[in-house]
Amino acid sequence: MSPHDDRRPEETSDAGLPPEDARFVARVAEAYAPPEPTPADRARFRSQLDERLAGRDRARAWRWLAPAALAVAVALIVMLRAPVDEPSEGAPVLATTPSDAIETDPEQQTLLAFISENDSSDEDSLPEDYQAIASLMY
Amino acid sequence: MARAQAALVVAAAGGSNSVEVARERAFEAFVAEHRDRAVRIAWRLLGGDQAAAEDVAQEAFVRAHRALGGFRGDARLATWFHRILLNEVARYQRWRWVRQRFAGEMPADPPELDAARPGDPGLRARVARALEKLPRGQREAFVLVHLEGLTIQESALATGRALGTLKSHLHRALRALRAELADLDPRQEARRT
Repeated sequence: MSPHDDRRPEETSDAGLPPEDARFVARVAEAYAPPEPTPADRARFRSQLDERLAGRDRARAWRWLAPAALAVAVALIVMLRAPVDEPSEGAPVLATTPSDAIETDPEQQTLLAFISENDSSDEDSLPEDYQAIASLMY
Repeated sequence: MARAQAALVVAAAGGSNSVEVARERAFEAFVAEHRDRAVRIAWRLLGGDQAAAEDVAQEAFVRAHRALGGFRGDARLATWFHRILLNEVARYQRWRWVRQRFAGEMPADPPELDAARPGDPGLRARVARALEKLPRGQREAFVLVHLEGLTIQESALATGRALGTLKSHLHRALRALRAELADLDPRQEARRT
């Protein structure tokens, strides 16, 4: 708890309320008081928070999997759909590699662009004001 | 408080295992120190919904944990965290509004009013409704300054508003609440007698 947690609102507020307003505020505060947490409530809160933090770490460890799986799937599609030219007799055989197909097929290019867009995660990005609040202090 | 802040700032700056352990310990102390107030603030801003308040407070701690690397020691850690918490409350309210509006979800029932708790459950619900009617800025100002006892300066920093704006919000909030909850207003009481 912060040092002034135990102070009553009317003692801590520097709003300089007239006495009648201060009495009104005290009545509102009394009528609208949250339940006092028990030690069991605090322990439950802490374990739920630990679960969330662990879940986030797991998600972070596995987040490379989705784009990688997508990339493998696209590569497979490309390989399966790549035109297999029947070599004509006497003509030199020209193998069509998946990379050739990627460069030439607009549909596949769109898929790849989609992958690269989804490759970045905003897991670590936070609203700028969180980061910038320190500069607001002084 | 200052010790927890210093420990967190030092720990956040490093990357080794021992620093990581120190960081986790400091974070644990930070949660223990701010948990009750965080839930209280969220509870008061979310109409007395205990489950939602705990959910929002936990999310705020998760975000604080994630953003700790970006925290600069010249800011007061509590103020920085309160700002995260207020943003989480607002985010929760936006999503609740979207779910109700577009997903056909029914508006939430009035918060669980535990009849066994001291105080008048009906009055508690009326205060919750009166606070919900206030615009966000006024509600935050009233809860932080008058109900949680933060100074106007601390509240202005936590809400990201200018001092003058915050004072104006406080004045308007008080006027609106006095009109809405006239039976709690000593002035009205004096007129009646």
